[in-house]
Amino acid sequence: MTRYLRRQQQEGKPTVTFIDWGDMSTRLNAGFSSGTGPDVYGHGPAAVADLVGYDRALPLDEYIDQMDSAELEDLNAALESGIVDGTYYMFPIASTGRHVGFNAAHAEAAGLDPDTPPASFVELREWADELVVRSGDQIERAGIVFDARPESMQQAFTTLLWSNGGEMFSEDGSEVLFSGPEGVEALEWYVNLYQGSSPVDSNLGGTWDGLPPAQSPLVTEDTSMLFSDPSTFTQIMEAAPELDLRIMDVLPFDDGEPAAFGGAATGVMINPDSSRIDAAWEFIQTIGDPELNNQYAEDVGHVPVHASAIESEYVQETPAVAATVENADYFRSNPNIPAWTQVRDTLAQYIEQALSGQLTAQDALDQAAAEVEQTLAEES
Amino acid sequence: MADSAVHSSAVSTELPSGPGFPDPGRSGPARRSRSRRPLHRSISRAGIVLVAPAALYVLIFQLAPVVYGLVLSFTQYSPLQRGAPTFIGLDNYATLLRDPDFLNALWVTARYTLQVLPVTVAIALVLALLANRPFPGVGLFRSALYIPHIVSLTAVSMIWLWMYSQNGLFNDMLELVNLGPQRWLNDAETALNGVSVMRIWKALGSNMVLLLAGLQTIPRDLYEAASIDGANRWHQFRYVTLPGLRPMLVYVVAMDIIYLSQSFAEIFVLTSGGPLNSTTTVNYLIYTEAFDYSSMGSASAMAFVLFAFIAGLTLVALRAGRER
Repeated sequence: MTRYLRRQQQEGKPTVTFIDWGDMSTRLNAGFSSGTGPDVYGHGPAAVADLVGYDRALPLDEYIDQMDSAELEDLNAALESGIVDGTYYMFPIASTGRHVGFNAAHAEAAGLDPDTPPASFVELREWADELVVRSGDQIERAGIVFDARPESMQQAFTTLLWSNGGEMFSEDGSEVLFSGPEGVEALEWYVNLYQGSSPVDSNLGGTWDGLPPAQSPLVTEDTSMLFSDPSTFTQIMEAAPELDLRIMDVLPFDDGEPAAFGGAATGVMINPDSSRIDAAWEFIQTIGDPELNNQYAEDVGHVPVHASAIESEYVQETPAVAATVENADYFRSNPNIPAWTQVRDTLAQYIEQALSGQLTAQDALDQAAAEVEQTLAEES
Repeated sequence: MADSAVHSSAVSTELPSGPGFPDPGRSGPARRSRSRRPLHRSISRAGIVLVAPAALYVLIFQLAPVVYGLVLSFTQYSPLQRGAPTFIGLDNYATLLRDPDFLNALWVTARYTLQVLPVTVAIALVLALLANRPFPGVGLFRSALYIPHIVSLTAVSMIWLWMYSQNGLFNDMLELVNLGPQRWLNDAETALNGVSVMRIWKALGSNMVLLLAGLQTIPRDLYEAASIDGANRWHQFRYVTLPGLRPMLVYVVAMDIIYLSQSFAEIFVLTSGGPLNSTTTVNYLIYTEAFDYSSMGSASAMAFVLFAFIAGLTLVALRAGRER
């Protein structure tokens, strides 16, 4: 792919450096602070607002305005993940989304129709109650599990909040809205998976990050349903081809509009200090080409960003990826506000306290809101 | 040890003799002094040249970053920002003292260090006593115990992550005796203990080797004399082995305090500081502050508080180990 990119580039020959995700911030920070930053760099949407705040990302409006409307429409909602204060800064190269995947054999065994999966989170809870397997007061097989990494907990809560009609912040990003009634109802739904009279999962705190896909609770049959991302589901299907894993569409909370965390997983930005800005945009256009982007997505196991990718062989043959491309209109990115990673971790910390029964949903969100408002005030 | 150092120092300052060198026997004191000076100087210059690369390395890559870190701890600075760090005096330190997350991390670091340290030293001492006896396969025994030390901490942590997982080795063993699975690393009550067990296992090898080396410096005739005086095994251990081992024990304890208080890799891999911050050590918090939040000033201040904490604990250990 690098060779192809070098061949395609008219102006200059790009050098592409792969940096492991864990080293991304340190390498980029070192590059920026020493004046040796790259012309074009990739990152996740969570970093965009801070990079913009420190003038490390070039506005792309001028270039994106030159793209035709069909191209823009084809980019789905992923393009919106790179907007900060109404300006485009990041061009998406991979998408993501959160879905519920379920073991169809378990559903059938529990008398549920796998061809008519739940149409809302309220119905999903009913499925979880049917699917959970108990032995006395012990849960032998969970009805549904959610990963407990801080960012995963925040993404799960945000999905529930949005699907319930709530919002994280006011449009200008200055006011916290997640602690409203929609947020409390969403968090209570989440908490009741672990607490209350009939929990459906006893492994609160479980994470599978770092373990091979064969250790996923879906593969080991420690759960019947899993809330996760298309790359993880694809890896699970490859690790356990005998598993009849089905992916649900994005759900509304009850009878509202479906919504879930998603949008761009990664994107590319231009360093404003670059002396070859036009060449940098040419490079972005090349890797943003639908055919090449699809190839890139296939090579790295990601979701292509273009709606037209649904026709491709890769997407057609990868059910989890196809589900994300088909549901692209319902995915939303995290808010692009300064200090987002800090805000995210603060929120996750209080969500975790609610999930473990240390705080009520209302108290957890109120306390999180107070702390987040303080962070936002410091940033402004 | 001290005698050997003096001896080697004396040897290194002796003048060379032989063809081409002045004969001290035929020269008067004044002449000898004049002829030696240039040679001393050239030896000194050669010494400086030989030491310079290492000294420069220490200066540039070790001391300078420490000094820069100290300076940064009095500033607000993100590596993303353009321009110099903003001087804010002692604000970072004052904020840390009021920060519940930092105080919790200090407590977790202290608890982790103080619960791993005595167990690993005690078990390593027992193993060193065993390894100090001649028996068939003693070499294999020593090597097997040392292997965990030479394996990367990150790699070891990945293996332990699987062993602690829902379907890992430990839960499989519990299942054999009809006990339900435990949430080893997912429960705030047990997570730090789970990490501690892994670290105790990891630290055993190096501690054992050091203590074994210490044991082998204790003269055999002390045991013989004690035996003639009627000392039993316990008395020999109490009055010969322990006092003889004291310098090495103090060294092992001090080094363990330094390493354990800076724990990061095992926390990063096994728990990421969770659940409920129950395994967030100061070093892990420094990483989060510096690289997730780009707050280098605050992270540097944490690093210097951690330095003071480690220095304090080490001093306590050294004082406690001082011979009376």
